[in-house]
Amino acid sequence: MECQTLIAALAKVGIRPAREADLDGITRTAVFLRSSADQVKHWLAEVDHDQPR
Amino acid sequence: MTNPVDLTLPVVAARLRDGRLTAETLAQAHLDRIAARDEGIGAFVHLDAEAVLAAARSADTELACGIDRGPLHGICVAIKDIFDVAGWPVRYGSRLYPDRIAATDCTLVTRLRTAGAVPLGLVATYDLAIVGPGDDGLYPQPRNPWDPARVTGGSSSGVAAAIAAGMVRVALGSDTGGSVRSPSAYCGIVGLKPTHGGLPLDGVLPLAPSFDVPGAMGRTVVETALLFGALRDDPVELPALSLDGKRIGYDRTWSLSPDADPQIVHATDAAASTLSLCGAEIRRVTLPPLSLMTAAAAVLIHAEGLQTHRAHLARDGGRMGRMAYQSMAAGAVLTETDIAQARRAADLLRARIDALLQEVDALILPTTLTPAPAFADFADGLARWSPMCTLPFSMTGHPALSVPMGFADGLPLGLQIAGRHDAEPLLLQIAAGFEHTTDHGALDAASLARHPLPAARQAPVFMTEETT
Repeated sequence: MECQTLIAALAKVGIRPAREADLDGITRTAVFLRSSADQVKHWLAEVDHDQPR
Repeated sequence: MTNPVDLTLPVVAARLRDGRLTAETLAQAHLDRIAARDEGIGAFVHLDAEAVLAAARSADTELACGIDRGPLHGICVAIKDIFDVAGWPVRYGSRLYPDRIAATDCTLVTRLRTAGAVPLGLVATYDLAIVGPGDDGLYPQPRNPWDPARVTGGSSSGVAAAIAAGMVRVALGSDTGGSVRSPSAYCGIVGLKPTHGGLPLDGVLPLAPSFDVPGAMGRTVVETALLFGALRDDPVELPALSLDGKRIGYDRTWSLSPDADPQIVHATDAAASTLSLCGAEIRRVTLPPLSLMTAAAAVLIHAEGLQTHRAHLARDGGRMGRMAYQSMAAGAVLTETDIAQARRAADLLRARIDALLQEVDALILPTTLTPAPAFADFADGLARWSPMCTLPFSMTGHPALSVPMGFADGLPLGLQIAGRHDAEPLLLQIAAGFEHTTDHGALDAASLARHPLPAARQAPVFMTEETT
């Protein structure tokens, strides 16, 4: 995840990390969450595809 | 003579009523045990010995006058540091609230008092009950009584440590993504996460409202059931031990996750066999993938957690523990679409579990996929997920409990039993049957520390406590 993208997302909810080390930690969880959201999205697409029409 | 702290609550209750024990003597025994053992553990963060003894004396007076409030009358209960107890420094384990004093009792503490219980003290939690074990919260995190180099799990960290170290028999915890069940598994005790929405949450620090539930934790299943009965203000019929005719679903694939300790699947297979020997019918079932359920739950917990703590994160982030801050702030990368999709997935997955639970009475699976990690694993100070199977039932709201399942490398493992909404008595019954047959919970962390076993500690040890 790009640092600028993350900082922009944080700023949107009023969060401005003061420490660089925090950005590393936030990035780690953020990457996991983005991957989780994508996994959910793909599963729902499969569910919808398998749905009888 | 056995220290009363080491007697099960039904035995204590009988002695309180036949005059062999007083609540004051019992409370003093708890305070003495805490004084002797907690220095190396760090479970308790607030103790008011005078108030404890006064409440115990009051319980004695009532019993002497013929007022009997039930099985918790005169029994000491520890409280996680997120439940309001009037006049106590309930600070949520956070440097954001160093001077907070709770004004009133939360409803659950009121219910405990009504049941005659004696609030013993506050026990540690992770910073804002979010994630840990950080080293920059309001107080140090407790050490696992089985191995002080290991974490207890959390966020009900102090509860699990206090019970496992023999300082208290039962305690009030809470569970958002596994905060009752994972520390119970790591510390070798029993932890019940009830059905979502079944117990009141007023006066309790929120995290993710569609997941948050108070929980009952105890040394044994029966004791946990007694506490749960007081919390729901409706006694639980003490579980019968026969499992004849119970249909239990088992999906091995969750135990075989890539990040699982290889010993987990063997322990869970053995648990399934044990339940079968107890009369239950084990059926192979197919659960939705663990990774999918965990993914949807993680999205929702972080979305709700960010909403709950947004003001703290924006205004006071520098004073939050770093793990908690980093974990909650990361929710900012989730979009409205992500959250809506995760909610839809949660609804579909809940329906699938409901459908499975029409075919079987309960599901079994490991609580965590490893024994307790070492503190050293968290030395970089970054938040991380320890592999476990608790998030799915947090998301679906089904009740689930963890009961000691055995040992890996001398550390406890937990068997998770999940069931239909409001089926807690059945889960307790199954757990009681399993506990009675295996007696893994009879192993005592404190006594093992004094007399370490030379090899694997899997051999069951049978109850030696007096049972009358």
